[in-house]
Amino acid sequence: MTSSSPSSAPPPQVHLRFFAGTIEVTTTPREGLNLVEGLGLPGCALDERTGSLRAPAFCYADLVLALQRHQKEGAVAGVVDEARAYATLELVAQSPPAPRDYQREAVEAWRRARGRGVVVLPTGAGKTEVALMAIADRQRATLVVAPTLDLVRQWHEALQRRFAVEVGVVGGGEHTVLPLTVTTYDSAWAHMEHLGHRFGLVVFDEVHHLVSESYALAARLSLAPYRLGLTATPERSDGRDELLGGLVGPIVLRKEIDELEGRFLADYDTETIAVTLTEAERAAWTTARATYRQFITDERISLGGPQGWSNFIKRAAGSAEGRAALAAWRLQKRLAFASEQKLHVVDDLLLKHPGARTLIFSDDNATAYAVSRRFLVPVITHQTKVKERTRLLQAFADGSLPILATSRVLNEGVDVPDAQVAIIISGTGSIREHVQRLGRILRPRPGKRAILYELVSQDTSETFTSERRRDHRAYR
Amino acid sequence: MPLQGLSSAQAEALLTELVAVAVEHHGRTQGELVAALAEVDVDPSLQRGLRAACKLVIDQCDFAVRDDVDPADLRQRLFGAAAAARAAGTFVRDAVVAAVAADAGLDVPTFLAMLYADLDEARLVDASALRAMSPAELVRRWDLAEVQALLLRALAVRIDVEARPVEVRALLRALKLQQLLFEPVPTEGDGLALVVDGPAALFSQSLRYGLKLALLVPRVMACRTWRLEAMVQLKKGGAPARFTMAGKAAVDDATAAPPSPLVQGLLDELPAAIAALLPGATVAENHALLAVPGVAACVPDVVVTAADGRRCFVEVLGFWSRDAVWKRVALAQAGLSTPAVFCVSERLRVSEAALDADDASLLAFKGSLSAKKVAERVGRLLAP
Repeated sequence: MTSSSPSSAPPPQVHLRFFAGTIEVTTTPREGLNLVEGLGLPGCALDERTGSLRAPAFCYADLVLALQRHQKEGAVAGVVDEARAYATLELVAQSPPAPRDYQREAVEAWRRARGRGVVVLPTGAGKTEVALMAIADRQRATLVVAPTLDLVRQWHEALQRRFAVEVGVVGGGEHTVLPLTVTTYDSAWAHMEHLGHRFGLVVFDEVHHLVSESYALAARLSLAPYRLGLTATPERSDGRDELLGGLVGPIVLRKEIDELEGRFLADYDTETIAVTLTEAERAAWTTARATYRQFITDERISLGGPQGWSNFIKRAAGSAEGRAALAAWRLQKRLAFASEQKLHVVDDLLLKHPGARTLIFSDDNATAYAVSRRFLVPVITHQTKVKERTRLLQAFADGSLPILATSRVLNEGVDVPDAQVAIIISGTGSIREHVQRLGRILRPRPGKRAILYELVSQDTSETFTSERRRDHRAYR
Repeated sequence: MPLQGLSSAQAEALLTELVAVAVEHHGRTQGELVAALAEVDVDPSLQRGLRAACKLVIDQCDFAVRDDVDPADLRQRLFGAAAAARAAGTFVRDAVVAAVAADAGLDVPTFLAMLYADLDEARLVDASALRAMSPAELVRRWDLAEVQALLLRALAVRIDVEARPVEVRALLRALKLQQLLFEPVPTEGDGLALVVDGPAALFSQSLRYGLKLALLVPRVMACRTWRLEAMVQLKKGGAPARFTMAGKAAVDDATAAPPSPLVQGLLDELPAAIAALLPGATVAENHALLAVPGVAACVPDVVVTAADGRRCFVEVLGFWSRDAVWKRVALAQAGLSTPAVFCVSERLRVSEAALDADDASLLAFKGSLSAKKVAERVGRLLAP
């Protein structure tokens, strides 16, 4: 279809400007805006606050393509693009390893999808390598977004090592923006309004985080034409993973753990160990559970519905009985999650695997610190300062501190290549969390066989939690 | 202003009690303070108020880590020794702890207490600032924090203010700094009304701009009278609710900064100079906004109102940036609904030729500003 001017006025020149995560479209002369509005440009709406058209930044690529078409057809005189502020780079990869077949396949599939898409690979299968190949392929200023500061540190090292250039960091008290920059999802959300025009490629590591309401906005505020998502577990229980297609692109390649086990991932076993509460713990657990259940019954609270839990919390705050019920719920959970017997089992397992790199996971910080004090092993939680956690991860890698306790911060992505044993003292019912924790010990080494132990308090609600989180092919 | 359902008197009484607890915990740990505050007993209906007041009190405290030992260093020594003992097959927990504690010159209980003394809950409370604060001041901070907290959930805000130009300019600067957009709403009288939200709000309502809107609150509250009307989404996915807040600032005209000498000179001399050209015209300090969407917005210094009600603004740009002047030129070129004379110092190196010869909007001056010349320009712009 050919666009044409509805009047005899000469076609206007169109100006694109990035403003706070949006693309502002103006014309010279100003009167030409009506004509351009009539072209129905992708994502554009009239903004009377500024007397301009405006589109979300993520529509930039489609907008430019449409304007180029209209210019060719004579509907606009020209396009002045002041929105894009990213550089084309001349990166040279320093001694890149020979890519594995599926890594090459992933980059080719991503390229075919116009440089937009998600690659799903199990932990340890080399997702970072796929991103490094994509960055070298596109040669555009790139922003890597990762969920934790540990991962930011890891990406920073990987980019610097591969391309031998200075790499910027935004987050954790740093704000250095360079053509290759790494940031956290939180910082991307906070700063994308100012950074969104400075990168032509955005890599979203652990991309399943991106679709939460606030983080998704970070993707919309960026004009990057090229987008790559990486994850081992794209599915979310809230169904929001459906948004990934619009924000990043379709899944262009997917491989599961059992497809790569043995050749590209370490062989592994999983073992669930049932533990019993001590008599005193059982008595306290029973009393606490009765108090909690009594309140639920008296108040006729249905925990099955979507609002069930928040309803309980709300009602609990309103009376002394409610507050006692909440305290009882916390107590019974604590007893099941960190029972004395579990700590005895941890002791036995540490003796069973002397010298093995071992990660001990818990659901809460208090248990992680209790493990640290009892077994004299270091712990990493969100409160551990960057300097100390870097030192601890290095000591874990070189074997001088081969046992590490943690709550949730090492669940994802952090590269601990030699980890061989994982002990799950407690966790949520999330399949994703459990698969990610398994992934920590699957990086291959010659002759390595990894093992994951899951400790479950018998005859408590933890039994159901355990069943829920093991509902994945990696555990069958 | 509601304080989580408490009256000001109730809030002051509760805060007095909580401050006493905090002061009593000066020098003890944050964990102990938090536990003690949680023990304060109030009527169940006031629980939310209690939680808010506790946070307010904790926020006014400082927290310090003991500086006589380095917990990270103690940990490094302890875990290194433990790992070495495990590798040698000689690991006995208590023996490792005792050896490292002795090496650090500490007894075992102190050593274990110091091991994680840098965690938040182990930091030491410094309630000095709180001691010097009156309950009334805390209530005032609560008030501000509550308005700001509400705006964190705001989708859009309408701001109505009556204020001096200096406060309106401060508000406009804050809007610009936060990259928020606004649409002026016509009002009667000297007031200013703006509907404010973020650029991407054009496509979908979002809480993205809540923090930025909250950061405007001190600027709004500095105005002589103010009113905030916010569409607030309190629950995820819930229907937005309308909240209205209003107040008055304790503005003291006697101590307020006077207009600049150039503007004061105009206010003094322009009435006489204009009288000959426009009989019955009045001259006053201006409070209104002059804006063209997408071009610029400003608050001129002076407004001249002719006998027939038509108005002309005068703005004096003495030591401003050249960029500000070019924005005024763009305003004049865009066509203003209310005409304006922009008086520009020659120091800014902007010539009157920037506009068409018959456009009276740009007046360059050297040194002092002639009220007679300004009156002549106003007269031309208001000529029938």
